[in-house]
Amino acid sequence: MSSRPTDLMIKCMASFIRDGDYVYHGLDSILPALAMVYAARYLKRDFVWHSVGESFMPDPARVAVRPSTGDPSMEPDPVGFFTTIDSFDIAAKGRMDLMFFGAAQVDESGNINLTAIGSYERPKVKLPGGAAAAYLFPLVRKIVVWARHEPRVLVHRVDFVTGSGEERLRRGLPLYLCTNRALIEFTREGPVLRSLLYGFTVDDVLKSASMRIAVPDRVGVIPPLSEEELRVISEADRGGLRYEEGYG
Amino acid sequence: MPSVKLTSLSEAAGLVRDNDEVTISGMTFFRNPMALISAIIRAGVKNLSFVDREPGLGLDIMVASGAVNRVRAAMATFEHYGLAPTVRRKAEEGAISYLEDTCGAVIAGLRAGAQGVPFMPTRGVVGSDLLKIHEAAGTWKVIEDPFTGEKLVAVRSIEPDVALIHVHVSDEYGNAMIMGPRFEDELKIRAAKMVILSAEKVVGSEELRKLTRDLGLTLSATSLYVSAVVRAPEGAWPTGVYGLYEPDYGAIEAYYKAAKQGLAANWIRDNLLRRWQ
Repeated sequence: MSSRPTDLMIKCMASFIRDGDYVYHGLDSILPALAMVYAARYLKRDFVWHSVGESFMPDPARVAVRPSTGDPSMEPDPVGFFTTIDSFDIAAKGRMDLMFFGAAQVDESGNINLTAIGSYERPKVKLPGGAAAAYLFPLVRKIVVWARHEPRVLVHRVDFVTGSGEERLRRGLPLYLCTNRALIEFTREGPVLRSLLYGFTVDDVLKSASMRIAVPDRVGVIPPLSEEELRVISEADRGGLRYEEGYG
Repeated sequence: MPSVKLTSLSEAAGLVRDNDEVTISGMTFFRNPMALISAIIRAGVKNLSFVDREPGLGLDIMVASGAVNRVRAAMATFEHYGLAPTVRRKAEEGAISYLEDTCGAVIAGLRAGAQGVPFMPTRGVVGSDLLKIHEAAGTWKVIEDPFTGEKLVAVRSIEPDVALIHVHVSDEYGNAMIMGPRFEDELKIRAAKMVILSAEKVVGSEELRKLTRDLGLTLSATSLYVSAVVRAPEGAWPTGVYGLYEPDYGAIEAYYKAAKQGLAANWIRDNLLRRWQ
């Protein structure tokens, strides 16, 4: 059994992977990679797996996360290598189904910031950069953002729009946020609470965010993971790297 | 016949000039041309600008050693360990200039460079604040598709002065093969004004013919692009090379910790420069 927020986030992110989807994960993406393992092995989802390490359709049962999620040895036995150049061309043609993005700040319009805290010219914190976020936000069918549920992360307005949630919503493209407290959907009317991670209350979610989050009459709960669910994830992360990512 | 390009690390590094724009092969912790980077640091080349999609160790070391003071990248990261330590610190201090890019646009710019056209249109990007930054820098411009009126981003061609590329195997003319993940390396080879290769193995052309005949492997670089070839076994250490060696995460973490404490230069001297004397 596990009700650790990290494991519940993985389960939350995996729920967006459907049969037939083309799913891609980037660098620094231990949680998305484990969500892909969970979706393939536990949920038995039949999707096309690709990553920034360029492994195309590796064996999900042999995936083992490393400090770099661009490590081709993390995703062994691929059918072949397929470049990121090709992958992003597919996205430009509107045929990438799902991508995951981490964020240092997320705002009420679903904009994410991976560029800088403070000003761009003289940042208080120079963040790593958005990688493909700016490029892919208007292009990918479904995007799931993951972030820490804290007031300084879930903000009214980001310091810098790296990936534009506003543009996604304008185009009618779905955008979700999995935090270590809740699942939130961005709508044209603002963020809406869809599910709580097991163990957290609506009050926990609202109090630890600076963004306004609407609470509908019905809110789901993401339940704890069974031994079997946890086994599938742990086999791909024997060293417990996921717990070092700081989500609890 | 093409001419022989095989040379030494120090002679290859001598081809890189102060103020050049450089790009390197690989990604965060994979197939970075560490032997060549080491030689450039030793040669004391300064004021380089750096362009790449998702660099990590190689970039941070070039910034920490003072070789690079301008960076253009979509992401500079040490992934699980944290932000690229020296890049972050120097950017926050204002000691380097940093132009953040995005993956699809870097690829578009390299494509334009490789094809010899002045720019390449790309989809996506719309709505990002990066547009303002790049329009001010003169690197992107919002244009309309002349046929449909769709808004697109024109990315000005990226043609680095030098591409430093680590490959699995090359002959002495620069006909070379990369195996496994190739990232944008083949575009970089085609876009750059000068290409310097380091190779795990330098072989006779007969051996390349054999790889072509038996395995159907294709060339990532040809003699037409390459100015210099250097033999450098384990020349990407501590980054990994597909099929030959995995990233040395212990060494990468040790560098990260040293750089966080401002001791990157010591690590570079003791581990990298000493290795490639």
